[in-house]
Amino acid sequence: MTIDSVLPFLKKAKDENKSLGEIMIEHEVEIQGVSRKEILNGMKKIWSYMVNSIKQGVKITKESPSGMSGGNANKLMTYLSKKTKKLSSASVLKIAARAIGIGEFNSSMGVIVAAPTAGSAGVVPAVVYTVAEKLNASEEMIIKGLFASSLIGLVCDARASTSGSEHGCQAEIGVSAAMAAAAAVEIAGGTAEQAVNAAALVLKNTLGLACDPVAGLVEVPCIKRNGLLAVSATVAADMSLAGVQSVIPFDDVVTAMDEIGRMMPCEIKETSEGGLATTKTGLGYKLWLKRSGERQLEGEDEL
Amino acid sequence: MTDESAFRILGPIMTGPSSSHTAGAVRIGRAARLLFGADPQKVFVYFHGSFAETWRGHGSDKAVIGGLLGFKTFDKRIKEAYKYAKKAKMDVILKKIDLGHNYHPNSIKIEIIDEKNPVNLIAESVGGGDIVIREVLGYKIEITGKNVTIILRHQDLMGTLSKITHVISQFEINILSLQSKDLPREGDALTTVEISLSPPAELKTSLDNIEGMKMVRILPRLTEGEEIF
Repeated sequence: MTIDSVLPFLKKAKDENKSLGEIMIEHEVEIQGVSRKEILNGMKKIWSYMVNSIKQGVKITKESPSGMSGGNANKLMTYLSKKTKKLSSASVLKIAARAIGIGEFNSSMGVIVAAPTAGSAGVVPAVVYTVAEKLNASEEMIIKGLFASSLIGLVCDARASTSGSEHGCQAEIGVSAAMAAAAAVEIAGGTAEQAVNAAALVLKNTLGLACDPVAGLVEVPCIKRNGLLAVSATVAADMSLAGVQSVIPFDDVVTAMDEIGRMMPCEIKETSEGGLATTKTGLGYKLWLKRSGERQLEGEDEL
Repeated sequence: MTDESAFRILGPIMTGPSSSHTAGAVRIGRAARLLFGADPQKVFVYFHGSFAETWRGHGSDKAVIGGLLGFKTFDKRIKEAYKYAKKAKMDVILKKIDLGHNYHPNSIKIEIIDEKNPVNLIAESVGGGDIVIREVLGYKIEITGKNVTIILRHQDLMGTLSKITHVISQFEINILSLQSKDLPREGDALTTVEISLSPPAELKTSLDNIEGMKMVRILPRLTEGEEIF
């Protein structure tokens, strides 16, 4: 059985006057056949790894082995600590920095939580952490937010895909942003309708996004994209709380994502055969990495 | 895990950056260690296809070494696998290999060198951290590591398979699948049995006592300890 629509959950939330997160916790208890406490503890474990990845990520100052990433989250946090005027608000910059930091931590072999994938792992934790910090939300609310986000991911997975190699980056970063938007609304005390609407607003904005990683690594454009889409997700949550409606409802947006994913050429679906990966600079990185890797395997260079 | 679970979308907890090139590589290394059944001292790791090209950026070397040291995919020591390998006096030599088109582009061959009991395997990382072991000691087989797997090398004698299933059933353990392959030039067969439960230690002894038995290994589920529940 898969969950291919948000509608039964929205109806249940409305009928029983409960939040989306609460409905999803009850659902998880039902399907796993274990106690509510065990279910909540499971998500607390997930959250503890997410928090650790946030804290480690913003501290990174070293470059990754490829030389393409590392240190950018730290640059943003340093910029934020200075007294100069910033164009964006402090929380917006923190969200971007934390999401980028998780991406950098991932590429430096840190332990992360795939949400829904490793390449898009920064968005949900960064948004949830920063929104909870701003609203002074309890851990209980955070856990509910994460459960609310899971419905969005599950429906995307069942109706379309959460794999860049199948449906491009819209299926990875797009889904993570939609999940984060729903979590943010839940934490802010919004309704299930508002949470799902926020997810629809931001997912629409990523449709057709290419997955064209340079040298086949989860770094460029993935890491900085985590930062920018995390910000979009938060704004989508605010828009939804303000009453801005997505004309196209969430399920339909996911159907559109599926259709667009099928139309996308395989060169921009994680194969690194098009887009940024085959620019002059992108190919230069690929060649350099391939040669240096192979030289080491053949014993010409020291490991 | 059920398709409807929140933990299928939020998870797994894993060492980055790539589920196929990092998490899968950890599991392949760990499978080789479990097959060897002791602390490896000297190991050759051969990267095929996509692993040969992108291992460095994905940290596949550290991942395999971490697995050879017995680490699971979420172990934070993987990042410093070289340091722990040195501590464990494990010598690892990385090489490039072309296994041909019959193997998945994300394949790794591992040889653990030992005077008495050398082992080798070829495994594929098929996506999302899942692996398939394609070859053990030269025998073409298929092990996913999603269940407890018993690996047996024995003389190709009449009735050995029925003795094996009889011994397992005496422990009231359910057999999920059984494969047996022979290698004609050696006169030995390799049998793998997937079972549903972690067996008691006595099962190994009982299997060892079967006539013509040369090697008994019981691999735990390779995802063991990685689930939320």
